[in-house]
Amino acid sequence: MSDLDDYANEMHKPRALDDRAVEAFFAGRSLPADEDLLGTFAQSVRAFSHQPAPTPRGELAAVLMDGLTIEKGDLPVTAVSNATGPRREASGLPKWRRPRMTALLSALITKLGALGLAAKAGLAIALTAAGVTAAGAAGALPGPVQNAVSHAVTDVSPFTFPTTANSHAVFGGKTATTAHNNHGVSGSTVSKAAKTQGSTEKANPTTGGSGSASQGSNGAPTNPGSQSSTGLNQANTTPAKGHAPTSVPTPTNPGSQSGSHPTGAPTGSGSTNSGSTNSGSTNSGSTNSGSANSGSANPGSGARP
Amino acid sequence: MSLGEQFETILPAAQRGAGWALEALYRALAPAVVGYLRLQGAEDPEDLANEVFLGAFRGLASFTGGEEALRSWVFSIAHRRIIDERRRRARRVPVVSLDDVGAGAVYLSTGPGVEDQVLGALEEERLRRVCDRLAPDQRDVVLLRLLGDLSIEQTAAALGKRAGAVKALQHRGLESLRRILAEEISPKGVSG
Repeated sequence: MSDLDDYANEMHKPRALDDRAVEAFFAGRSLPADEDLLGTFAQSVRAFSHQPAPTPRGELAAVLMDGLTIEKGDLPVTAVSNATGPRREASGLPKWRRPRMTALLSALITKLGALGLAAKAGLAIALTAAGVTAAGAAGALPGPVQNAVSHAVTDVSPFTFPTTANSHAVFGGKTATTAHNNHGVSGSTVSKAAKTQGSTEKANPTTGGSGSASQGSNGAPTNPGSQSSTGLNQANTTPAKGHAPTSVPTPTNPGSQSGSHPTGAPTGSGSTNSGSTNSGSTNSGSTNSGSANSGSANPGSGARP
Repeated sequence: MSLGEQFETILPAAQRGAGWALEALYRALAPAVVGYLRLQGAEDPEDLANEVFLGAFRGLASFTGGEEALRSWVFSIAHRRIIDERRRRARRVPVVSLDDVGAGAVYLSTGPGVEDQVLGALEEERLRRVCDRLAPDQRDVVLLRLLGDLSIEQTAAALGKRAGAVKALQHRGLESLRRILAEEISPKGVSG
């Protein structure tokens, strides 16, 4: 077979471009003679780059004339006014949340306004009950109310709220610990503290009784009278028995009588006095039998050297 | 048009927003960008070029690199703009106004010599017709490399493709171009 046997179209079929020709085309170098069409095309396209720039319009014309004010993006330097932190109004809710929060509040107010009288009353009762329950859980209610709420909650739920008796036990425990650590406490100080607590609680006799009963369950005598003698007897068994009083006078004012005791008196005797006196009265001081309990519950510790 | 050594002075000033520096960048790059947009078939290449340069100048403060990198970056923006315009155009019904019919006359009236303008307009129309016959990917590569003067890697970055893919596209694009140009001279059915 010779070349003369080929079809005319096949005879003039161009060979494929090699990589060198492709690179020459894009680099603007001269191409092989048989690629003049491509060469001319490349020159014509590149001629656009040598035309004059079109006249800028609108905003671009203003920018080229006056310069560009850099308001967005990364600033080359930080403004001095912003160097120490954001401005005050930068705090609070993000801007996109502010309208949403305002809309929520206004919608809530509108809905409340649309409620009927009975619904409003029910809502008020529910809110009050929730508030009282929360205060009761925190032990922040007045003594009788606190006890009533505590009992009510204990009856209807598995939860236990603090009562005034709990606070008495805590007071007694603190006094015992102080007596143990300091080898005795001042009877007048304990009496004053007990009086203060009793008066603030505005306790009634029933409340005081419950406080004594609960302390009795903690190991303290439930009878204030025997508790008094136990404190004195216990004090006399300690090395500090020489400082213990031989008898317990009957004071008319627990605070003044406690103050008459020497500071170095054993805890048992001081707290015994306050305990015996207060337990016999119906005054709020009766709730202070907790302090007497603390002394008698741990009498030896107060007199221990 | 290259800025050469002046670029080192012009870029920092342009990044501070100096008008004279921005204009120097515009004068250097705008002709090629407008040519690219024109051959890509933009409806109003000069208006689109305005948008390209406004966008580029606003982001110039964060730019780092030399003149080649800036050129590549501006052409990347131009390419994204033309893609956006094509999408917008595809969504709307084409409307030809009477003003557009005389667009050639407006173009001719702005140049110095009418004869040169006529020839220029005819040549531009021919080039645009040739480019229209290329596959879009091939046209992007050929025009970015010719008018943007971008390397294979820069073209790949601008188009979001791998360098190997760009190399293959430019090869096939030139083969197609050669065939299209040959057909223009001797259309099918005429040769023989």
